[in-house]
Amino acid sequence: IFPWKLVSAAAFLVPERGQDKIDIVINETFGEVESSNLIGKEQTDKSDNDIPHDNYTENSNDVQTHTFTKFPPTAEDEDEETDKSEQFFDVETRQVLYRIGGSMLPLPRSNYLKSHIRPNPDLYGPFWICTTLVFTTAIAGNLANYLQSAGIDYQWKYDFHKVTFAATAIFSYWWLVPTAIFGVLWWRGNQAGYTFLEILCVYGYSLAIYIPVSILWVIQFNWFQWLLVAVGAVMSGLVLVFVFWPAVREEDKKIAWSIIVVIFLLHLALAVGFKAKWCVHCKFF
Amino acid sequence: MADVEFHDREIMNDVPLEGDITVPGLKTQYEDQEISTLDEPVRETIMRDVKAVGTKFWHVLYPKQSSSLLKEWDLWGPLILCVFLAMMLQGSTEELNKMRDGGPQFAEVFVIYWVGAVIVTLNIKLLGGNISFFQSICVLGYCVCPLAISLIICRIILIASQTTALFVVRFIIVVIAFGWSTFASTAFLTDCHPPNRKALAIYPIFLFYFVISWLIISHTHS
Repeated sequence: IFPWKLVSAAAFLVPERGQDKIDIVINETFGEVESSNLIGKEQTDKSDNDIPHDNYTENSNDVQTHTFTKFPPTAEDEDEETDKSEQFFDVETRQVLYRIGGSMLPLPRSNYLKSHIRPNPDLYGPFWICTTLVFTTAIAGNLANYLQSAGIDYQWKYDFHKVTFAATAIFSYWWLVPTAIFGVLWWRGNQAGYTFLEILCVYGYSLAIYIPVSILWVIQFNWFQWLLVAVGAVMSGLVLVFVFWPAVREEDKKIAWSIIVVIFLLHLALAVGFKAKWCVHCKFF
Repeated sequence: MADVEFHDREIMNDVPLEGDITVPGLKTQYEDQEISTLDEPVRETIMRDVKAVGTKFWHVLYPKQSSSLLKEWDLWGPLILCVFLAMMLQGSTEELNKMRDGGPQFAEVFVIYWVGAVIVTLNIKLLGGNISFFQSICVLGYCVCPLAISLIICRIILIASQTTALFVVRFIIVVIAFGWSTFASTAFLTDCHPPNRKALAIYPIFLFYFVISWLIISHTHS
């Protein structure tokens, strides 16, 4: 085995996005392998700034390790800066579906934010979940009115302004509560490292369970509708609790518990609010 | 070394410094069209635009050829459809006095239509679709045409006294129109999306036509 064989198989090292070093381990004795053969230095017009820095070590078994860092910027890096707003929509279909599924199933040991949302929080899912929820709750409210009054020969006048009410309520919840939580965490100097975008993303996806809940509200049994509200709120509320508990765990006990309880209650209040507003026969509202 | 030659000014004016890059055989026809649009009667100008709009409606109703809607976009068709939809769907003023009228006002339909189209277009562009802003609004607007036709049919059905069977008929017609609109618009927009995000781009279009369908199906004023 001769050194020229390695040269003929030389690779041109181009790092992936976000990767800043490449390790090449050579564990047969070729004699010394020049790093220039590994980084394709055939182009003579490259200046020293264009050549990655090679940190070369060799241990006693003649195993060479070349660690390349400081790669010159490539064409791919330029694409990253073209559209800042596209980074909020940098998801694929199966990622969105995976995140929606994860928001409905609370698992005590796992943190939804760490396992599903990082490293690329997106705004596509939350925005379209909120928009869909606005329309499903408005339609469900109208259908509820119609079906409950159907026996009285009621000519259905649908209330379009339910849409505006629902939109205001849902989008306010989606933005104001994360702002408040982020503010509280920042004020307390919390070290969990949750960015505002990540909290926003988690809250948007946590509303996903209310979409099937609001569609199932068509079934006109009061106890069933309240059961749906309870199940939906508890499931996604618990996901939220498991996300924020690791963050507030180090705080003073009272503050930590009050934050968690407030998060859960607000989540429940949203669903209860919609059910109560459009419940014609409710006795206690 | 070549000598530099100086020309007189008059000669320079005669040298043609601009022209069209066209095939020589078609040149005269192109020049005729260019000159004559200023002198033609107004009726011809209007008819040309009307024909363009009409052709686009035809392509929406029979979505076979996917390129013509995108190449020359115009917003006349969407505007006509929007005004028609808003006029038909608004709650009537006399009933405002009698009971609380819940139907959308003209302006609300207008806003839902245009703001909805803009939001869906922004979504397509943010997901990395390679289509221009107005082309996308043009396609989304034109593809409301089947739903507008279903609105006309529903209105005709509403003249008769209402029964559950007639409601089911209206429902089925609106569902068919909704499917037709969504299918047509995805046929036109299918090439613009990256393949792993197709469903992400199509879902908002589906939601947009769903909302318009809901407005149509729940419109029961006669």
